[in-house]
Amino acid sequence: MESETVAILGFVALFVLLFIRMPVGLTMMLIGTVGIYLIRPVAAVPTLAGEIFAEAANFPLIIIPLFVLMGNLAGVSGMSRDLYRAANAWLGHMKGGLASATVVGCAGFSALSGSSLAAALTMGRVSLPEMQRYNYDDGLATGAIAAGGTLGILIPPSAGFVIYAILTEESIGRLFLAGVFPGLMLTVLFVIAIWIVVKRDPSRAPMAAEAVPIGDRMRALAGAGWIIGIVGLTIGGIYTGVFSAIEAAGIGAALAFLVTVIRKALTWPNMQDVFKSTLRASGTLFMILFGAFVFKTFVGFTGITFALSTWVGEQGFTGMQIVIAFLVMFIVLGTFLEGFAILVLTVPLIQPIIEPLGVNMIWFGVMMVIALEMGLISPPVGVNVFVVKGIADGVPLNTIFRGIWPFWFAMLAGVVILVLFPQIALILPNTMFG
Amino acid sequence: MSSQNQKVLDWADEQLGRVAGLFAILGAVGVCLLMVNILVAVFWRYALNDPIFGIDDVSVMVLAVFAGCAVAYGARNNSHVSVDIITNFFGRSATRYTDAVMRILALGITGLAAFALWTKACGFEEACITENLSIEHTWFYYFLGVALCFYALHLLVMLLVGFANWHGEDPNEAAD
Repeated sequence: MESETVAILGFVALFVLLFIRMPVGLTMMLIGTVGIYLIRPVAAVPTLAGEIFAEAANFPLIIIPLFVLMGNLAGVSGMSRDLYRAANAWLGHMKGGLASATVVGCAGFSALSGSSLAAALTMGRVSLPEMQRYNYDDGLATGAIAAGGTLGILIPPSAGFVIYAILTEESIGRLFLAGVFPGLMLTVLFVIAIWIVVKRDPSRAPMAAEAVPIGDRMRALAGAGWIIGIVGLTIGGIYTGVFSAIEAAGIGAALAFLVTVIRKALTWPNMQDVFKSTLRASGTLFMILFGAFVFKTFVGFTGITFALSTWVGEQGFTGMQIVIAFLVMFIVLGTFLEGFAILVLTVPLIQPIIEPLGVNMIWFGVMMVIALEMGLISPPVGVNVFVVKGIADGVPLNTIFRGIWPFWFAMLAGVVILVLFPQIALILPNTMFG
Repeated sequence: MSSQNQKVLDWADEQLGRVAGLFAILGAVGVCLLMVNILVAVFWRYALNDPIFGIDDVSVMVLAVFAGCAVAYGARNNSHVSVDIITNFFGRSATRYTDAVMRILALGITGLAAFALWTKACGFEEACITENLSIEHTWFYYFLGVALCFYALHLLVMLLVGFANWHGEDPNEAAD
């Protein structure tokens, strides 16, 4: 059988197996192994063993458990609550201010946690009762939490960037820094989206919290000092070249642990919760990576990427045209595929096509992560929406999905802005030290 | 299904739960070690101006153990991501078949992966040791094999539970 035919059959089989609910990592592992067997039979089993070990012992992946641990410790130590309180003190009195505070709180928490789910869950538990108390529309309240949570994979540390960096062999530190300004931009776009929604229909946020005196606002901000300090130290350390991204993860986790001890939150149930959550989240990512690298090797063996890049070259497409086509594809895929699945399935195919066209892989990575964020809240498999549903008992799923749309369009606007002004993403990595 | 078979499945499930607990303990120790290793490495490099030779080798091998624990514990807690679109179109009458096929295939690949890690350890590696401290990789391949074997056993129990409840609701669904 021609290797290109094997590749096409492999992709068809992959989608069939994903459709019947086979775990993403195992699906890629199975298709990759069978595919390699069909092309080079003797290589199949050793490749399977070799790729699993190579990813399990891949030094940069130390970042994943440590940043997940840091985020979980931030949750149990009450740092996330402090952050919401500070955001609330400054924004809560404005129209739609509690929803805006939720988004800002999520952005802050995202700087401690690489997980969108953790951000949505942690901030949602704190902010949803508050928004419900002020009679916020359920769609707006839950939409703000689900969308705000997606900032977790854009604002560093980001599990999405780590996986993208491993797949493309780009620098994790540079990708982290590239996510800072787009993350802040997206936060502002979300706040603008909330403002527009409430301006058009004031009944969706009928009451505002009382304005807080400036002294209390400053005290609330000081209360969030720990989280701001840890974020400043880790991101600042990477930017100035004092720490590598891996060292920043270790130091950030240790500081979060210290804060947990100081605040007497280091209880046995909390520790069980923290370590179990860390294991579950890391296990998810490692399994996907095991499968992704077996699959990537299979894709390499088929030579299909060479055939595709040759075809693209013959058509005379520009890099920008291809990038836009892929972004549209990610957005469509995001409506039915899970974000990390899209990342690991498409990057091995896409990189050999766009890199020769001169596309900056750091910039592309940022836009890809935003497109994945859109997938996290797109029906029918928006994972963040299901997480929010878990904490918003009486709110129907349809209401949450309806509340998502303003934020989805804000993300789309973010992608367009980044296409027009790539420097927003590239300025920090291009000026970093070390 | 006879009550005897149900008891056997319950017993197997309970034992897997216990083993998952051991993976959780080992994994928790692993992530703490990773954190401490990095702190020590940074402190020695900046404060004492004396980088510790080979400390990264230790981190990498701890990571391999942690990864195995995380995958095994994640399997037990249904953390491994799958895409659930099929239930939008079909009910249990179809998913009882697709789930069985999916679990058989998943069992097959996890079993093969465990076998590969045990029998082809260091298959393609030129030197099966870490760069600085020459820690042998083989034992870590074996450990990952154990983790994937655990995943395979978990899938086997899920498959049998699915068969045992063929005509009713699948208890695995509730866990999902």
